[in-house]
Amino acid sequence: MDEAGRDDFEALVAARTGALLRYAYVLTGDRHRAEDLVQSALASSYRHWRRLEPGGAERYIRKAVLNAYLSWWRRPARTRETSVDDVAVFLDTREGTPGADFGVDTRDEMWRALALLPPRQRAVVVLRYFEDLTEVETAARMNISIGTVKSQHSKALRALQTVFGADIADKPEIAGGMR
Amino acid sequence: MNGLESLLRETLHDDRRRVEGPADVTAWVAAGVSRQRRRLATATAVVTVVVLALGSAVVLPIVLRDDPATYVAGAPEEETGLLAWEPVGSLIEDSEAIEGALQAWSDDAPAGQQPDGDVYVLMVGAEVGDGGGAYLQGRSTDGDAMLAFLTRADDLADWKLVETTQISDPSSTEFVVVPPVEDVEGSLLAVLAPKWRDTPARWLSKPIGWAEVPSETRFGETQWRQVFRAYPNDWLTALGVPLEGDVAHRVLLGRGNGVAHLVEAPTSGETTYVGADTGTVVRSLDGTPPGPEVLQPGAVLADSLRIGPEVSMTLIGMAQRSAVVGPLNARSERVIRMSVILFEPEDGRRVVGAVVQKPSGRAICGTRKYVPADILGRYVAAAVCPVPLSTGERSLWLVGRWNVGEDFNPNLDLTLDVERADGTVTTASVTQRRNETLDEWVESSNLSPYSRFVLRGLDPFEGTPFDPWEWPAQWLGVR
Repeated sequence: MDEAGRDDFEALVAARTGALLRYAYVLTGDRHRAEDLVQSALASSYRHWRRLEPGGAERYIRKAVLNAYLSWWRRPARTRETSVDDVAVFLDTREGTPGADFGVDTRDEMWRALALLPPRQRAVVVLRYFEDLTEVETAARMNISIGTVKSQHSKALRALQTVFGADIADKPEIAGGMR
Repeated sequence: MNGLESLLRETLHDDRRRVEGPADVTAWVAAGVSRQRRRLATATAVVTVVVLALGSAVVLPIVLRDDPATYVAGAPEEETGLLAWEPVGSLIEDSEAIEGALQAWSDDAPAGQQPDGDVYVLMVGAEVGDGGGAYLQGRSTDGDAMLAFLTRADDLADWKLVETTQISDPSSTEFVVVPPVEDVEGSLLAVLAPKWRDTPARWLSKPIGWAEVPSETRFGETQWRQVFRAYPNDWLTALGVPLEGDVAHRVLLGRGNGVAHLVEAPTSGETTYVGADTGTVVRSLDGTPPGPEVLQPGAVLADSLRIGPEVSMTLIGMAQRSAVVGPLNARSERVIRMSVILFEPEDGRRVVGAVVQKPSGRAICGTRKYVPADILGRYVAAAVCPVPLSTGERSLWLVGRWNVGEDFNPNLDLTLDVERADGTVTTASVTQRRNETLDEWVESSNLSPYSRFVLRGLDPFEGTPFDPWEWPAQWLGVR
């Protein structure tokens, strides 16, 4: 990598590592795995930097994180590491942010429910509700069909609904909860 | 957007769940780059070693192919025997299939019935239509395991779990028969998942194929379960399936022709049954064709003979050309290609194969009983097929083949005597050159159950007569 490329890479790392870690974390639900995924994705992008499209580095990295997350899950269980310490993630233990309609307990319950989703369903949920991607964009990011996105999305919501019941699913749109 | 989706979005964006990255991001990324380079170097080294090792590994499986113990890696030899099936189609190293199966199974299975750890793809089935189904036999030799059937779709995420079965008796020597999966559209995949990830289950399996007719089809006094379409990539194979009473089944699979057979043999030792392609041609014990006397293209003739408790042989013939074959016994000069595969069903191993060219009116009649095989352990085999003719006469078709390698080229001289109860003898002699197929017809009218067949010949290696093979005509179904 030439000097200009190295500067670009370092600038991206400095500016976007936090966001990438957050993205990896909502995918994995595990801080340490998130760091591993992002580190690997950044290292991979470093090696392929010259071949990346201008301005497309972050998209590449996010896709690499997603692929690594899904492939990690497919690895034999005996070769996976399991993190047990997730307490440090909770940097702020205050009640929910002002304007939010759901309390901390409810969101924590949702977080635990998300952890039970199969990886592909969870990935669809993250891309749709965290990354705000459309179904078409989600399908492209995951290299799957739109129909699959829909089915995985539907399955995920059904699974979550079994945790929270019909009441919350029927609750109308809540402006405060939207971002 | 409803409340659930709002909560979902809010949870994912919850600021409390931030992740603070490492203090020195530059060093952290540099460490990642360094680690990837090391892994790349290691992987390159491993690939190099594997490539070098393959050079010596290719020959060994060929040499050991006929050793039943090699069919099940790691299985004690005493666990083989009758069940020493070659795990055709099992443990497929198909990453896409495994990925899809694991995903579909995990998505669809109820809690507690999901695969725990790796899965093994036992077979990939052909398309099945309305009313079709899958049927798999096998035995788990250790470890609990779960077996699942999945429909396969082009998109991995669209695969569906059809059925799961718990296999929980690791010490069992019995077959585990998974019942047909009915009413499935699409292609099916059978997948095995060890229940305990530290104790991988070994699974001896035989995909029997895809059902063409409802189970428990009754035919005369005999009962046979199904006529199957063959597993397309399977070799001809014989399976023993213990059933209730004194009845045993043998299932023969045809490779590539989409045809398979079920042959039924009572454990009493009596010769029993010939089945054929999806009911096209079915012969009863007395040789009376209950079905149409026309073999359809690709049809199979199969026959089985149990000669006492220890010796049991099976003959299967397959018409491989797609041309329509004339009615049985027709004297058409149309030439068909016909394969004859000889089995030792006791251990399911293929002994030898033979391919002959015959006018259809004669070759296709190859049915009824068979003689021992494998003289001197050198893969010499022969079959004699008394062919019932429409006139009431019978002909004998003698077919065989032997192979001893390129460096040894004697001829094999065989003589078949048909000794009738009235004392008359008909003799046919054939000379087989290396890797050629014996092929001779013997006039054999006026046979009775008390007639005898005697096959004599010279040991091609020693030049001395080998012990005659003798068998009464009743063993060949002559009644």
